[in-house]
Amino acid sequence: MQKIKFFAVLVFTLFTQVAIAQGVPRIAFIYHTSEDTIGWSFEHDRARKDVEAYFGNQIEVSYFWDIAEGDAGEAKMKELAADGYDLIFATSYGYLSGALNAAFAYPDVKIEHSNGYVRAPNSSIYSIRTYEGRVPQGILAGHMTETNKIGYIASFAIPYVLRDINAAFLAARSVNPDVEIEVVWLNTWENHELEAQAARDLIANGADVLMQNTNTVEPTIVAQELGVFAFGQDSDMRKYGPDSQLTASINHWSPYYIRRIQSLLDGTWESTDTWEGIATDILEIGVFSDRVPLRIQEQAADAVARIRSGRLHPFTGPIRRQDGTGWLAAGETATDSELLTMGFFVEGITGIIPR
Amino acid sequence: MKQLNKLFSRSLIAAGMFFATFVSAQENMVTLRSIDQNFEATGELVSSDEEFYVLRTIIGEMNVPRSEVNCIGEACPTESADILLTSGDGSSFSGELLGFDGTNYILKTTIGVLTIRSEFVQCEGAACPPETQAAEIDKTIVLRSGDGTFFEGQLQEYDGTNYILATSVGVLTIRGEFVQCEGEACPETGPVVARFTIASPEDEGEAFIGEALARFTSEKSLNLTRSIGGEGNTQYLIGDNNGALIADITVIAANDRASIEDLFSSDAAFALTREAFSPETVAEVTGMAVPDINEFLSSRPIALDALVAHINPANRVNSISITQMGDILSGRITNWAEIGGDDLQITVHAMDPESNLAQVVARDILGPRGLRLSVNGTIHTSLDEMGETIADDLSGFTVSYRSVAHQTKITSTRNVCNMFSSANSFSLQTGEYPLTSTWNLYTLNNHDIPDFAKSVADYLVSDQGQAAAETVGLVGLAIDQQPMSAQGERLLSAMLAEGLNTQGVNAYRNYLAEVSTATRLSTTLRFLTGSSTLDARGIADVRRISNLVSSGALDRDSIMVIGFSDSVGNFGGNINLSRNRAGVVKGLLLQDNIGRLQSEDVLAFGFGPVAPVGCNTSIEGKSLNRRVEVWIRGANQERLR
Repeated sequence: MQKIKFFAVLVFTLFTQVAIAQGVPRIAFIYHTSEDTIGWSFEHDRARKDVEAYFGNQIEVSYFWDIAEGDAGEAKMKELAADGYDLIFATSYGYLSGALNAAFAYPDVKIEHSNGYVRAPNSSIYSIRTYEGRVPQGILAGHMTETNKIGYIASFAIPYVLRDINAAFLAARSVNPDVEIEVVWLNTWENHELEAQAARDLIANGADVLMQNTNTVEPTIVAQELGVFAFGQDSDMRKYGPDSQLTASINHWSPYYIRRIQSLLDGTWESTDTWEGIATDILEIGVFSDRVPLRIQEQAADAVARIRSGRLHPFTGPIRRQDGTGWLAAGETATDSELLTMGFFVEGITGIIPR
Repeated sequence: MKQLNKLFSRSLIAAGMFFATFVSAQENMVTLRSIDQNFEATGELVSSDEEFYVLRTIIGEMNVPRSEVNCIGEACPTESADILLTSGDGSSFSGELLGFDGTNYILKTTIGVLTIRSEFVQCEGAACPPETQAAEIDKTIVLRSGDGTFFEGQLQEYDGTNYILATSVGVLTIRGEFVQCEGEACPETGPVVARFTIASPEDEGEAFIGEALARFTSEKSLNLTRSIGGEGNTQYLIGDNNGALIADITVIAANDRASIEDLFSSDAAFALTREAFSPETVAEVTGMAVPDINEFLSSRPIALDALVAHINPANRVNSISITQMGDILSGRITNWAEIGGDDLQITVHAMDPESNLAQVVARDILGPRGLRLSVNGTIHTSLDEMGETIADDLSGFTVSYRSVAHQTKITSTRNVCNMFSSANSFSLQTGEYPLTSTWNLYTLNNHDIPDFAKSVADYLVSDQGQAAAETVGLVGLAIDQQPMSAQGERLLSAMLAEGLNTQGVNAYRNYLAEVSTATRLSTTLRFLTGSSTLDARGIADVRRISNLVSSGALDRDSIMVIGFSDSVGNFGGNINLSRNRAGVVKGLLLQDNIGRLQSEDVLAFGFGPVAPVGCNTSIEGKSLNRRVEVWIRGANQERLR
């Protein structure tokens, strides 16, 4: 009896392995943070769940938390590739060199690197147009501020961050010509203590609406505590700021992941470079706080709809640079190349960019 | 060479050389010279591929095999296709450039062929596609002076003062102030960015500088941007409304000792310290004996702080003497009941021995009494954290700075002759609180400080800067005033402390009669031991009084300068001594305000040892008592501040 059972288990094991090797593609997601907080990685994992629900048993999906960027990430990707995974989503910028090295070491495996800028023949890169979400944020902030001061908690002075600050400011100014923005640079993506302190400092300096591109929920928590407004960034953060959150920019990777995995199943996967936003639902705008008057909600929703349809580009001239020199002529819109290399503030922002 | 000879006749080559002398100014001109030197042709390089150069000469275009010639000239293509692509975050890729499609570099690297988004990287190397390179700036400039003379040439360098210009007659060095620069290559001659570092005590020190810079920039309509560095240093960027950088100030947290080291190593232009520095400490840092530190350092008093006893708010004890502080810290007093509190073991908290606080407590409280610290609570590394612990611990005790009060209770302090002294801002300013320390801003005398940095330093000591110090719990040095009626604590202490004889009672009555309708200024002048020279603080204080005089705030008022002495010596002699000191201060005030103050505007008195503010049985107390108080009496006394 014992023997027969053992044999049955052995046959079953062999069978499933063959089945995997023969048909069902194996997909892996690696995350650089732990599972417990909402934000960047949380949204990739939410999309992972959507993918599993969508494809069911057509694919096998695994996911791994707390995979450090750098060497550990490279080792993990190589391990997964050696293990027979077909497609690996490396969901953080810091996996850059590891993703490339793993791609070359395993040319039959496909690796997709989030926020990257370099591709191997068997790798893709994909990013999100967060600046589009700054338009509804700016409109709401411009209307809701009573002090006419927005506080912005910024990480590094790189084009992505400058672009988002500029987009938010332009949108806020479009509804409130007196609005100002104070930027504090933290030179980190994630630091609970610094972000909370920066939020307090900005509020002490008169800001009554906070924005951020750092990763933690601290600014939202501080805004809730001190009775000012904030925005969910990457995730809906209402749980931490039920009264403070005006809306949220929510990363929604599901449509992208479904498309990519479908192309793998169809045998049409190829190396791509994708930068998408509101138009393809990669960026979602969260619900508007009921503290926002309806007419303002409608104005912000209208801006989102026009971005979705391509009728509104967040950077449409006339726009001057901070130093007064001309950038975009009336009606002219910024090219993606200009957006990706943006190294200046627009006119009206008074802060200094650390170099 | 045969191949070349087949392609071109000698005459044609000669024609090409001849032609070249006419078109040397044209761009893309190169010279192709055969490796054996027998052939040479000069012309415009139209294009090149892996095999041939295409050269346009007077007789038309010629194809020259690359393997046979060397190309001479700036327009020559480089042999190597290697480039280096570096991204803003420091990641980089190098290899052979296989192609560029306007958006992506196709790069052959050692790991394989990469497709790289061009917007994220800077390309370095001769093979970089021209469209990714910044346009070559024409270095030709014209420097024109007001009298009409001008110089034209290639700008080689501009060092902020001089232009180095290569002209047809040679290389010239031209003072920038005398000329206007015309041309694309002219340097930005906006204000030079002031870059400097301030070493400061952490927490209150950093907060004070941040607050002061915020007020400074706001008053001057400048903009302040904060950037927090990786090591906790804060960078303050000051700019104008167009985003042009004016100053780049780094604040590094350091204890006093490290701050002075930073100053001498030129890592900091300014050192903000919790205390004035002794010549001994400076000697230790520099390794040189420095009898007079003013030879090296200039110091400016910034604000005041004091050592006080911190206890739990629910503790019944209200007053602790300095002797008791020492006994508690050293474990001689272990129960609150011994000093009038509940029957409860005292938990002593302290800062780590490296901290400023631990060193000051050892020097000023424990050391003079021959005691050693004995901690049964916690050794802390953060003042804030230590304060929070005591706020939560009913039995807790520590001696810490007044400025880190938070939620603890601060007791009043008694000295040995039972004189009470609350550490209020007025008693710190008059110097009558016994454990007062002065924050100082130091800079090296020979240090080249940018003008903007000087104006920041001036602001810190201005009355506006003092207001910033007050927001972080420090006591500013700006002149405060207190009417006679608020001077009760010290008059009470004076009466309790001294047995006055008839002479003394009379002098005391005269003193009270003079000041009864007057207002005391916080400015109290003290003299260096055994001399009539004012200390640094005293000089700054005379300047502050002069500022009040010139502001008109004292018009129609009388300034009373009232001298006092310690109790050593006979009464009459002390009366004379105190009158002399008052006379010295009167002289300084008149000298500093010629044309604004007449002799009759300043009244000088001397009352000897009456109304002491310190205990005459201690050295410190005696030195506190050798003072000149400043009082204001007259029409405007209530309108001050």
